[in-house]
Amino acid sequence: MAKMLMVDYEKCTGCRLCELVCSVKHTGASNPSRANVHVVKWEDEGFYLPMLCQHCVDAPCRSVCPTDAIYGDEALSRVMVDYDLCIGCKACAAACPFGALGFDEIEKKVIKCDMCDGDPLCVRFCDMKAIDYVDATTSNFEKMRDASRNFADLMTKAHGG
Amino acid sequence: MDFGSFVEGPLLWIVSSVFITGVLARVGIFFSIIPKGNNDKHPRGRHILATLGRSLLPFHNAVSKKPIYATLRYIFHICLIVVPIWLSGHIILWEESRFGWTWTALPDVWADWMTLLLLFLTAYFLIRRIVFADIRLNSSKSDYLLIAITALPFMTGYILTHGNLDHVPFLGDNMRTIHALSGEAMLIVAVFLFYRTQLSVEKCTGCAACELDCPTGTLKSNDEGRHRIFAYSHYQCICCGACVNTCPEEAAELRHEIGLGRFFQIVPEKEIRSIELKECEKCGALFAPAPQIEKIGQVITEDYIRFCSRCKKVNYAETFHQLAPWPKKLKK
Repeated sequence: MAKMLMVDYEKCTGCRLCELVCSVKHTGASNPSRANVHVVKWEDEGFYLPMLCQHCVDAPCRSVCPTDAIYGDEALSRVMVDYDLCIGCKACAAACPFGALGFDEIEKKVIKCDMCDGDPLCVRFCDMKAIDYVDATTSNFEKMRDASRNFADLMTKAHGG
Repeated sequence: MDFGSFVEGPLLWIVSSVFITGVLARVGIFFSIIPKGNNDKHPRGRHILATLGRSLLPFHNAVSKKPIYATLRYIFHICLIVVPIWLSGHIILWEESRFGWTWTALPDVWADWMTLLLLFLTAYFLIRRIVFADIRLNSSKSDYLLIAITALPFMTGYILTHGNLDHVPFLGDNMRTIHALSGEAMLIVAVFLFYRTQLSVEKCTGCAACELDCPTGTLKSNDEGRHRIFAYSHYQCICCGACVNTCPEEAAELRHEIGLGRFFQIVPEKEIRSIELKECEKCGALFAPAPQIEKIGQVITEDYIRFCSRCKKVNYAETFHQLAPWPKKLKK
């Protein structure tokens, strides 16, 4: 069963707790700049969007890696860095279209989301469930239901129901 | 005193004392400098002596990329050190000297074969340097000088023990002097022989992975202005080959370099390479070396590599922001 991290911008309150717990989990320090998730904010509108690694199937970071240190983990449907092979050339960070790969200047290594080995801490700490760990195959059902309801409303209006 | 006895007498003493002082000075400088550049982040950084020791054994780091060349090089260096020390003719000289030292000699047949092997390998290295265009372009005069200085004592030594040059006018009388003189030249050169990591101009993309893997902090990169400057400190280098092994572009090369001046330049870090950095099209931040971006551009679409990481993140969020229905609902 492929699971994914699903972001719902409507639920995010912009508290940035996900950034904190992510950095504590992965570096042992409470330092959001070293986290693998970053919340981009439009404060005037109250629009907050957590940005995460999308774990692309055909990942650009994977295809540019000169040492093949980035590999796809089928079991958790995630993209991982093998630090034994990684030489720290930062090509992946330059290639990622989402800017989701970062370089940790303190530990001198590339950092990226690893889905906390199947139990993402950001999800556990997000009270609003703005980031959720859901089944990738059924995650679109809710949106489908909303869309079909809208469509039904439209059709009723159109037929003058 | 004629020239021949001067070469075998006082000059040998002078050369030996220069050699011993030079080697001791270099060991001293190495141990005084190494703690400063120590790369604690690197697992091997904490065991510099172990790394140094390991690099003397065959099949270490630098071998994996060019196994045949590395093996030949290893054999060459063994012959280079073993033959002069354990040659029976040299041991006799030690025994006759005021020290009276003696040790078990290498069988003469072995010494002959090792000398021939060494000369054969020297010829191979020389031909290789001349024939292959990429190596030839990388070579300087000192590379050829080094080959000549290394080969000469062994060549003259071999002729001295096996050749019959009595009928040759000049060489017949002076072969011994030439042999001693060339051997002394080799000892002097050995004191002033340093390593140098070379980053190929065409291949290096400036990713600085070599800096991360260097256990002693010999190789350093620094972003100055619009360029990334690579610096190299020759006294810190332990010639472990980590940079050669790490380089994904096979751009790093460890080379010998004869430098009289470098012996006295203890601290300076020589700039070995300067690479232009690419600018983010949105915020203007210098985010990656230009050659690396160019290389990535051959694999993935150019759209992914026009902006820095931070701008890409914000760009994507912005697109999402425009598409999302919620802010529009609010605006109503």
